[in-house]
Parts: sequence; C-alpha cells; structure tokens
Amino acid sequence: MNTPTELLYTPSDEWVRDNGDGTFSIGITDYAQHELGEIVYVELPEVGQSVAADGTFGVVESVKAVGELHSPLSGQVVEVNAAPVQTPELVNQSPFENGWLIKVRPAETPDLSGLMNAQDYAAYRAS
Amino acid sequence: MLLFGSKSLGMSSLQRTSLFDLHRALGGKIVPFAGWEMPVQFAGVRAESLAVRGGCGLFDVGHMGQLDARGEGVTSALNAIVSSDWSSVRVGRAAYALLLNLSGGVHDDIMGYRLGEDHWLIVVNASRAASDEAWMRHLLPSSVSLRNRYENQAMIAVQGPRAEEILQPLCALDLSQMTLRDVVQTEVLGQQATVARGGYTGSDGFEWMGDAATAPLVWQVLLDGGATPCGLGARDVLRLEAGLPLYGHELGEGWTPDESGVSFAVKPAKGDFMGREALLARRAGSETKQTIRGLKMLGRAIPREGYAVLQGGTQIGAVTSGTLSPALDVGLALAMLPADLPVESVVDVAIRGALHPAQIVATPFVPRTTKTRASSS
Repeated sequence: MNTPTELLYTPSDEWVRDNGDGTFSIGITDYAQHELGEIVYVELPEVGQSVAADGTFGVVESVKAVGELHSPLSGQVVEVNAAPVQTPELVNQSPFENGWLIKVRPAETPDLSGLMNAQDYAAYRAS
Repeated sequence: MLLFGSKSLGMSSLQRTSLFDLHRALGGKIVPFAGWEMPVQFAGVRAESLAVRGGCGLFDVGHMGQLDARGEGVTSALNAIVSSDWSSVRVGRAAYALLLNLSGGVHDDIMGYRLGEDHWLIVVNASRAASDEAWMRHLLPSSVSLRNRYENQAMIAVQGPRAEEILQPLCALDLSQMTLRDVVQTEVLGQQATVARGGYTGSDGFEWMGDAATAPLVWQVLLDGGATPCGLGARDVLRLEAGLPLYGHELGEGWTPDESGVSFAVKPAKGDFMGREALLARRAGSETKQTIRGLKMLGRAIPREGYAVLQGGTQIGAVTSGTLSPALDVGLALAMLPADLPVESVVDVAIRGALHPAQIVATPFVPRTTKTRASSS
C-alpha cells in the first residue's frame, strides 16, 4: 500500500495535499482504489460549488460498488480534474497524482488536526 | 468512501464451502453472503464477467441449498407444492419453479432436477434453504424422504462459450449431447456427480453438483484447463445482463409472480399447489399494474437498487437491481414500474438528487446464448 508522507488522510480513505497557494487537492488513497476495484464511473462537483467538511462531494464507482467521497475540509471548489471523469481507471492507476479529484480553497485556514499523517493512516488501514 | 464491509462484520459464525481455502489462495475478496463466507470477486468484476461472455468462468455456488427428495409419489407430492408443472418434467430434465406463500407472493425461486422416476434434487437460495426445507418437510407425505445435503454439498457453475470444451476432459459423458435443462448423474474425475446444462448467466454452461470433498479437485482441474475464477459480483452482473430475477431484489414475499415477471413459472391449470388460490384471487381482483421492466441508461451514471424512477417529475417506481454492464458498457437496471409503459419510453432515474434519463427496453439486455434444443438442432 502506497502512502505518500507529504499528505494527510481521512478515516474514510481520502487524502489532502496542501498546495501552499491557499488551495488543497483531494483524492482517494491507494488502499481505497484497491478495495473498490476497477473504477468505472467518477462523479465530481462543478467549479464554484461549496463543499463542507465531512460532507459528500461526489462518488467513485466500481461495477458493483458505490464509494462516496467525503471532503476533509470546507471551502469552494476551484478546480476539478476532468481526466478521471473521462477515464475513471486513472484513479486506480495513479490515485495520488494523475487521479486527483478536486482542488478546494477554504475561506479561512482549515483545521486539519482531525486528519491522520501517513504513518497513522498506514497503521489504521493495516489493523 | 463506503466499501465492502467485510472487515467490520464478525464472520466467525459463517459457513464456508470446501473451496474456501482455494478462493483465499487465489486472492478472492471474501464477504459474508446469506450466512456464508463467499468470494465476491477475484481479478475484478468486469474482467470476470467478460471472461464468461468470451471464454469460461467458474463460480462456487456451494452455498445454495441442496435438498434431495425421493420416494414413491415424490413427483406428485412436489407438484402439489411448487408453482410450475413438475409432473411433466421427464427424468433427466430440470425445471424452474416458485414456492408461493399463502398470499400468492414469492417465498423462493428454485430449480428441480429430476434424477429418477422418484428422485429429485432441488436447489434453493441459500437465504431460504432452512425455511424451504421446513415447508417441504411439513407438506410432503411420509412416503417421501427429504434430506438436506448441507454438510456435504458442493456446486460449481462452469459458464461461457468455452465451458463445454473445458469441462469435457473431466467427464466420461459426451457433453455435446446435452442441451439446456438436461441433467445426468455421471462421473466427473472418476467421482460420482450430477451434471446439468444451464446456469444463471445467460451464457451457455454447466453446473456440477457433487460432494464437498471432491469439489476442490474439480475446481483446480477446471482452472488448469483455462477457466477464470469468478465471484458473486460477476454472477450478479451476468444474471442482470441476462434479465434474470434475483430473490430479494426482483422476487419477494410481497410481490406476485406476475409483478416479478415470472408468471411463466406458474401453471394454475395443473391443479392445486401452495399459494395458488391466493394468487388466482389476486389476479381476479385487479390487473397487474406494475411489473419488473428493463432500463438502459442514456448517460454514464450507474443505476443502483433503491433509486427512484420518475416520469414527468412524478415517481413511478424504483430500481430493484442496477449495475454497469461490462458487456454493453452502459448502466442497466431492473425496476418495478407500471406494466403499461411502452418499450422505448424515456423515464428518469434519480441519482444523488439529479435526474438521469433512461429508456425502457426489453430484456434480456444481452442476448442469451444458452444451448437450447432449438439452437442446437
């Protein structure tokens, strides 16, 4: 299981990257894509929509299962990755890079203290 | 993310088939299903279902209940229980039937394999096995012995256009002589077995039924012959593509066979059987207003069980089973909908608050390629 150290993780298997420009990228983890299996459908919000911390912002689906996407923080969607919408298996192939899902700009500095670092997330999913 | 819940559920009280260790060794993802720990997928649902359509897939269906009924008068006694006419089923043939409840709803759908003049093997849904057995035990006369095979049962479905080629080397019998619903007691790998032509995928194939101790060798030799191991996920996708109903989804205690789209399996003219009067009374009371229909999505969103179906903004029904079809690369569903909606009508499926158009289509969605007598002559 690949777990990049520069990211933070949710218990529901999303990751967050602080882009350093006031935006945060969000995707699903390697563990999540592997558990879900071949992803065949990705549904994401529109640019400009608001997402709420712990709220759902879309789905990734395999043939048989629906995985709801939970936002780790509140803010406005400033960019949506069209690539996995067009080519859902990109999320399986590259969950942390090409398969990122949305970028969110929070109104204020978000409280990310409830998220896990890579080491804790890896331990959480190994248990 | 909401994923398969296998980790969070205690599985200690669940049963395992004799193939369980092989499934785990092959990397099968194990989930609880109807009291059993069963593989939901191996390489992936899409790859597995495509393997069945283009080659050969193997399914462990050893969780399904097997009931052995024999004794003088067993055929007429069973015929007084089941919905279809089993007195017209010849030795060496199999037949689908329903067990109706006393209000004319469907308690289970079952397959009966007539192995001898006074001998039947009945295969029932795992979740209904205990109650089916209890009903039959209550209704069958003392001249009939009913034995469940739960402790020793095994069943493997070999499905797809290469099924005959891959199963044949294990068999003494000439499989090419069998057509859909034929059943033979024979030897497979030198061990006593029952082999039937059929399955639950809409593709050609066979079912092997035998002893639990024999199943791992049969499974392994079929894998070595080129068959792809498949889980219950692919099985569900394939039966949906074939437009076949599944108990608990299209079939249930509250719906009549007419509503569930299986009235072909009800033969009231044959005489009395369980649930017959109630069903006839319900038929006399009103026309069937709703029935299971096929839906094909016009966009990319995937319909799932429970999603509302609307027409002109008003809900007219709900999805009972839905999936992406790997064979057709489009979302398909079976849904309980008004019976009078014409084919090609466009309706909406409500998916996460948005309406997605879908068309009413005839089923099967994927044409069946079973080897019927007509197709083989």
